Amino acid sequence: MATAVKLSGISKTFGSLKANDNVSLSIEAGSIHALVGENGAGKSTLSNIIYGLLHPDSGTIEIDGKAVKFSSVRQAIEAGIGMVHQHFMLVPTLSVTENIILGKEESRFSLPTKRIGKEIGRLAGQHGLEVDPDALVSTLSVGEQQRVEILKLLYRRARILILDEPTAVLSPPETARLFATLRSLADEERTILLITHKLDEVLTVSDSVSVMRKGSLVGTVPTTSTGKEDLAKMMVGRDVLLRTANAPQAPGKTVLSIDKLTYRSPLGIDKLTGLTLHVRAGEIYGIAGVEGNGQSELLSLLWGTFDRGGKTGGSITIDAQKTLGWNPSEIAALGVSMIPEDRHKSAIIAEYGIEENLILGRHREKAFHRGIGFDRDAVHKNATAMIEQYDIRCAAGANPPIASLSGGNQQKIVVAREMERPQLKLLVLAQPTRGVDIGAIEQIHKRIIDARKSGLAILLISSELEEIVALSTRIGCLYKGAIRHEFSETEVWQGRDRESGFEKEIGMHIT
Amino acid sequence: MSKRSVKPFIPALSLLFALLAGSLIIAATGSDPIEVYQKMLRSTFTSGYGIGQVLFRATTLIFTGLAVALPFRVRLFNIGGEGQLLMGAFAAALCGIALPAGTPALVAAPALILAASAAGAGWAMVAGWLKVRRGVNEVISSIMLNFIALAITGYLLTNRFAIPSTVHTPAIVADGWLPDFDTLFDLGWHSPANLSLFVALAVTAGATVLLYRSRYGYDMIASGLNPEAARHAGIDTPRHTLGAMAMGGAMAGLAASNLVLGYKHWFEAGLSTGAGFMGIAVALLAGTNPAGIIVAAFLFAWLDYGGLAVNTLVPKDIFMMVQAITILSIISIPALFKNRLKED
Repeated sequence: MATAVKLSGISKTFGSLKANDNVSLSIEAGSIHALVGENGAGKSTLSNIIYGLLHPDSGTIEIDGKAVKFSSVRQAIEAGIGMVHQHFMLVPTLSVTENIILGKEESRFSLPTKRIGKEIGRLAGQHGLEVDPDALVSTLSVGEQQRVEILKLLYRRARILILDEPTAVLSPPETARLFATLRSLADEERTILLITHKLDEVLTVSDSVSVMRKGSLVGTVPTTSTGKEDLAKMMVGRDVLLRTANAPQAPGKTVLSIDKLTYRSPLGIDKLTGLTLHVRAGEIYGIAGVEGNGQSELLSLLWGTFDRGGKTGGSITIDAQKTLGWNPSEIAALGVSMIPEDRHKSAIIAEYGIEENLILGRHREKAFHRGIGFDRDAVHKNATAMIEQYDIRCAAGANPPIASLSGGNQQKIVVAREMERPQLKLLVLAQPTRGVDIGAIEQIHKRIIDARKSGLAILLISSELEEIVALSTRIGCLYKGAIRHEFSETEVWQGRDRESGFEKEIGMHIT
Repeated sequence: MSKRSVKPFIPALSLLFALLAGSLIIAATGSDPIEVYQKMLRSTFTSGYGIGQVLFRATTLIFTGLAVALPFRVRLFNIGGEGQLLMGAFAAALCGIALPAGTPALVAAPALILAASAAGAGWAMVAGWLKVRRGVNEVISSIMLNFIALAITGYLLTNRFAIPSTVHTPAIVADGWLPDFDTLFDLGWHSPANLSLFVALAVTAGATVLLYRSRYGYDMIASGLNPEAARHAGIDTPRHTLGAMAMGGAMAGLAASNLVLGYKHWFEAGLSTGAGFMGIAVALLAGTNPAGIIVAAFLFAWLDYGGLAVNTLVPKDIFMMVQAITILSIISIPALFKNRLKED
């Protein structure tokens, strides 16, 4: 088979950081090639170099056997390369057709939308990319918007498609559908470069896989001859426990009760529709669900940060106290910690130092006070202990802004802070490992299970089914604002042994 | 040169550029720039009266600069310093008139200072309240409140409190006066500089401690940097919006201690001479850093009085231009370097 993309000795340095170090890689035409690696391994840099967004310091690129040197994205597009970014580049106020032809209008004055619409319809039908060509992009679901992005590339006759973390925003059925599309594109001799960190997906869909670590290419292997453990080991550079040991344990008394909880947003949309669940001490209750089914609203009601303009009903009871309508500091004072969904938005202050972030939300604790200010020594000692205990990687001694740390280390800071709250009883975790490397995921999962063993009640909300299955004692399937189905402890216990089948079963209850 | 290494020099570069541009304008009016600048330096640095004038003007600007800089820490742009200053000065004057003669000075002066800052804070909190409760942009509301404050004080002055056929109120009780530098240090400057300068320096030090050394400052700055994360951490962000506006207003009100208690001893039309607005420029130059406020206030006070001092050679407007060009340069010079970096 012909080689579609051939990279030889690509290097790229940012300041003192070697983002790509002598990377050589061949991708066969008509194949699906996965590129995996931890955050900061250099995947994005490499794909941006292929797409012409960045110029390599050294090395050569060949496309379809011809040496190329892109000085702009436009040249890469002309060479038949297209890219779907993690964050879509669509104009929400324009229709699907208008978005697709944007930048490639055939005439200056007239838009033959009808004819082009037909062409788009044909492409869509061929590859399972159906979407209404006249619909406004703002009315489309995330999955449909992604189809528009792919159609845009096909309309521009791209032969080599780069997809950056395409499944991060998709539900399981949408993911399956995307993979079918990718396969049908590859069958037409198009070449797909899939950038991801989800190893299951790599094994499901790709023909071959390249692993990157710290800027270097560790190796390229045919997918059929590798497995999840091997890939994880190549990514991290050591053996990784993908499944943390999670032994059963008799749960204690109920710590959190949510009864017939309803929430209507200020815009009059019913976000929660009678949600009921109970979490006992010493158990992890996992909520599985596609994003947008009420997770954010449930969290905001639990933590008291919801928009008071909305209407609430039902009750939340934490440790025999009705807490619905309390504010966050009152709820925290009961011994409740929360790790919010969006770390950057709600859990850290980027400009504050590590020490200040390690007391954020816990800065009312007397132990940190002296006079009208803080006891610098106590705050510093707290930081030193947490950095040690939670293996947070940062420059020793100094107190740099938290923004200078990697995502995984930032998340470890949030986890450390919330888990070490004095008299902790209830831990609410939302997407605790989002944007975190495999190595750090392993550590955080171990912490969560240790916390459960020590008798904490834990509510876990995650869009990663794998995470839910690995950690939970019981699993509730969230759909349209209520728990649609609950898997008992025994069911989860048995399901864990037949992982993919069990995940499919959960998938049916959340879509 | 990297952006970081250029940054500290931007204010100095801007001033230099503005003074150069100013000399071109002076030359265009037919005067000798060197002679003008020499006279300006002489009259502001070698005469006691000139030094006193600069100190006096700087005092007001430290207060009105803080009035902008403090709310800016929570991302609030307080344009209402002028109105808050007027309300503070008017309140101080009215209370000063109402106080019975013979009130001990140690009671009278602090009471009037308190009245001034409370009135300024109250007026600023109107904008803060509108922001918290109704989501009204504080820039718009505080600008509008300036006009209302000007109208209210103007109306009450002419129709109710002014001494007939003058534009000022009766003098406040003498026990409420703050001593000037001549009395304090036996100088014979005959300038309006007074004890308020030390109040301003103390308040700036207090603000620095509050912002960077107190738990209140931790909460307040957190609310400004990332309101969502602050809310999650149990910090009452609307309270900090109100609190920061109130502090800003109190600062503007405190400028009254300089103008009313320390200098005029009454309220009069045109008392503020736009110092509330000049505070915005001071805060902009200082980059909201309290210590920087003092430096910037002295710089603008120097340009302000220096311009007046050379009035016989060139119109004062020239130095207003220099002030404005300084501000424009501070805003545009970083952008200039950014473009340079991109081209490289």
